[in-house]
Parts: sequence; structure tokens; C-alpha cells
Amino acid sequence: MIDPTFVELSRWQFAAVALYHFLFVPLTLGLTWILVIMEAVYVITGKEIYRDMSRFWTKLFAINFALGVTTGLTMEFQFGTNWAYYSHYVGDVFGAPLAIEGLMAFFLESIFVDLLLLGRDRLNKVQYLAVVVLVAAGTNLSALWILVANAWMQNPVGSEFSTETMRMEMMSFWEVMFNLVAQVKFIHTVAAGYVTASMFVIGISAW
Amino acid sequence: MQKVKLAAIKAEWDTTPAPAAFTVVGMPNQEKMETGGAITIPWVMGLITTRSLDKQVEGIKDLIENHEERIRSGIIAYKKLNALRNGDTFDETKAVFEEHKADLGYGLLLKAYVEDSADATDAQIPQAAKGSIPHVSYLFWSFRIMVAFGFFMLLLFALSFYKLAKGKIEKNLTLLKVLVWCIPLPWLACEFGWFVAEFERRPWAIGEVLPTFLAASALTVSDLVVSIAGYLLFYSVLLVIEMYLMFRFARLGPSSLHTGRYHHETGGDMLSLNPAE
Repeated sequence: MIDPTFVELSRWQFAAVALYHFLFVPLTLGLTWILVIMEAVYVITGKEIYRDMSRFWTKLFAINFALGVTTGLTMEFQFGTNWAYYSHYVGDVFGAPLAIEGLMAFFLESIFVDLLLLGRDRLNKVQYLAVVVLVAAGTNLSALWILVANAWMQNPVGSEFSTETMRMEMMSFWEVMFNLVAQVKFIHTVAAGYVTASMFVIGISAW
Repeated sequence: MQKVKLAAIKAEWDTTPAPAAFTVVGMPNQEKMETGGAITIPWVMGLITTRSLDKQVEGIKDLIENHEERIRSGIIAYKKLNALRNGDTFDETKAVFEEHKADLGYGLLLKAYVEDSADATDAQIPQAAKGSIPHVSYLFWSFRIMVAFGFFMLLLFALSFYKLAKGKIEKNLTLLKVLVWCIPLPWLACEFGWFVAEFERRPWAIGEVLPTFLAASALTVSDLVVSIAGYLLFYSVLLVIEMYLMFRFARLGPSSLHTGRYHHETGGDMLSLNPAE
């Protein structure tokens, strides 16, 4: 029979890393939209103070973002290192949204974060606003795809066990993507991110 | 799966006639399958989970009974699958497997109690069924902490917005202090929320498909102790650095930009906060 000790330890490890990761994620999800608002007001009014406002919060955003990435990457490796049978059994289904998250959303996010941090003096203010919008959209899209993967673990739709390969195979990508659980989770998670960022901004401003 | 999580979060042991009451607080007891000292609000549970007044919310006891049946059906699927793996090509074997396939995961649950699910005794099946429900009180409390923090923050936002709109927020030192001290709240709410989201899936890695204990890699305990210690150490160091930087810049506020226009650079008179500038 399977020794429960190493299973428990693997669970603890994933839980610990996931909890660390989510210390950084919600602020990224919400603060980017707050930056969008500040930049948009700057573009509309042209008042210096809104630009300075955005520059200040971008500084805090950057510190937070760097750690979000460092903690997130190691989680994805753990599917292979610590959950090998999981990856074998459901990897074809679970891997799809995970890969899309990595390829599409995370790349979008990373590229535009560079522009966000370095492009201030090189872009005009409308271009810069567009960059901020893309960073915000990228972070939120990342959340969407990772939650599609997570929701599938709760509610494994669109897939079936195949006796040919002895593991789970995807039957319908659309069902996986439009999993009802994923939609609820996405709304809940980004809303949590917006609340987090609001509390962060209001708290620091109160200081 | 979704039914289990609802029942567990709400500590709903028995299926009650619709619309079910919502237990606000209480002491869920997994052994006796009851909630002591419960304060309930009639109708609310039925309304929020089924969005109707006449649909029932299934209780944990009934779910366990249902899981027992599914485990029995899962054993059949498991046996037929083994036959197929061993080269059985009869159409009938395949047909029976297809019929019970949805319960294969439930059959695998028994592997926590017996080497081969096909050899499970009549005592192990109810045991596995009972083990198919997560620990209710952890979920019950984590969920309530998350919700309470969430509502408290919304209240704070509403109050702050009201004071700000009236232009009085700077004078209200108590509110400002509360706001600063509440900065950690959303993070706590998020972590409790994720705990609920993941723990409610117990004992499954993939709901009703793959039990967690089967999903793990065959690592040794020492491998894991080393890697956990490594992760914790590395991330804790990073977290300390992050907190240091955050505190440093956040305390300075916009004067960290060195524009010479703000607060700490102008002798604290906040002149330049005039948005007309």
C-alpha cells in the first residue's frame, strides 16, 4: 500500500508554495487596473500629479510582480517533480490550459511589464496607457487560464478515461474552457484581487 | 463533487426539506455528524445554493450513502479494467466497463485501505465512503473567516468613500489608523479562500477521478524534507526582502520619486498635493 507520509509531505510542499505565490498574485491582479485608472486620468486631464501617482504605485507593483513570477514558476514544475502520476493520468487535459496560460497570457504580461517599467520616458502618454492596459489584461488572462485548469480539477468536464491509453483524454476543449466552475472561480478570484489592491492602496494612503 | 463542497462548507449533515436553513456559526462534529450550538437562518441556504425555494440541498449523510454505492460500482469498473489490461478483448467486458466507468475513481479510493481494490472487504467500503468527505470544521471555519473579512473590508471601503466624499477623511485619525492596520486582511482572506477551494476537494486530486494519494510521485521522505526546507528558506528570504522594500517605499510615499514636490521633501506641508498643479 502507499505510504501516506510522502503524499502528505508533497501536499504540504505544494500548499506552502501555493500560499506564498498567492501573497503576490492578488495585488498584481488588482493594482494593474488601478494603474490603468490613474494613467487614463493623466491622459485625459494632463495633470502632473496623476502621472506621479501612477509612477509611485508602479514602483510598489514592480516589487510585488517580481516575486509573483518567482513563486509561480516553481509551482508548475511541481506537477512533474512531485505529482508524476497526476501528470501522466490527466496531463493531456490539464496541461492544455496550463500551457496556454504560460504561452499566451504570461508572455503578454511579461513583455508589457518590461515596457511598463522602462517605457515611461520612451513612449508618449497614450502609448504608455495602452501598455498599462495590456499588462492589466495579461495578468487577468493568466488568472483566467490557470483557473480553467484549477476548475477542471474540481469539475472534470469534457474528458473521459480511455482504455486505449489507460488515462484521461480530452473530448472537448470547449467544455473544459467554458467550465461553469471556472467562470465562478474567475469572477471570485479577480474580485478578490481588486479588493486586495484597493485595501493596499487605501491603507498605504491612510499612512 | 460540488454537492460535497456545499454540504461541507455549510455543515449540512442531513438532507432537510427545502428551503434549507443556513448555519451561520456552530461547532461541526465529524464523528457524531452534527453541529453543536448552531445558529441558523431559515431559507437562506436553500436560496443561495439552489436559487429556488423547492429544490433540496443534499446532506452529508446521504452523500456518504451515495458514495458507498458508487464505490461498489467502482470496484466493478476496476475489475473490468484490469481484465482489459490483461488482454481480455470480449465486447461484454468492455461494455460493462463503459457502464461503470464514471465510478472508476471511487473504486480507486479503496487503495488507501487495501492493496487491490478488488479485494476490498465489506467493512472497508463504508470506511472509504466516510473518508470521501473532507474535514467539515476546517472548511466551515475557513469559509466564514474569508466571508467575514470580505464584508468587513467592503464596509471599510464604503465608510472611507463616504468620509472622503465629504472631505473629512484626513481629520478622522481613528479611521486612518484602522485602514493601515487592515492592510493584511485581504491577504488573509485570500489564503483562507484558497484553503477552502483546495481542501474541499479532499480526498481527490481530480474530483471523482483520481484520489490525491495516487497522484503523488514516489519520492522519499528525505527528498521532500530537503525540498520543502529549500523552498521555505528561499521564499522566506525573498519575502523579507520584498517587505523591506515595500515598507521603505510605501512609507516615503510619492516623495520616493525625488521630484521635490511632495510631503517629506517640502517640510511636510503637503502644498504640492494641490491637484491644480
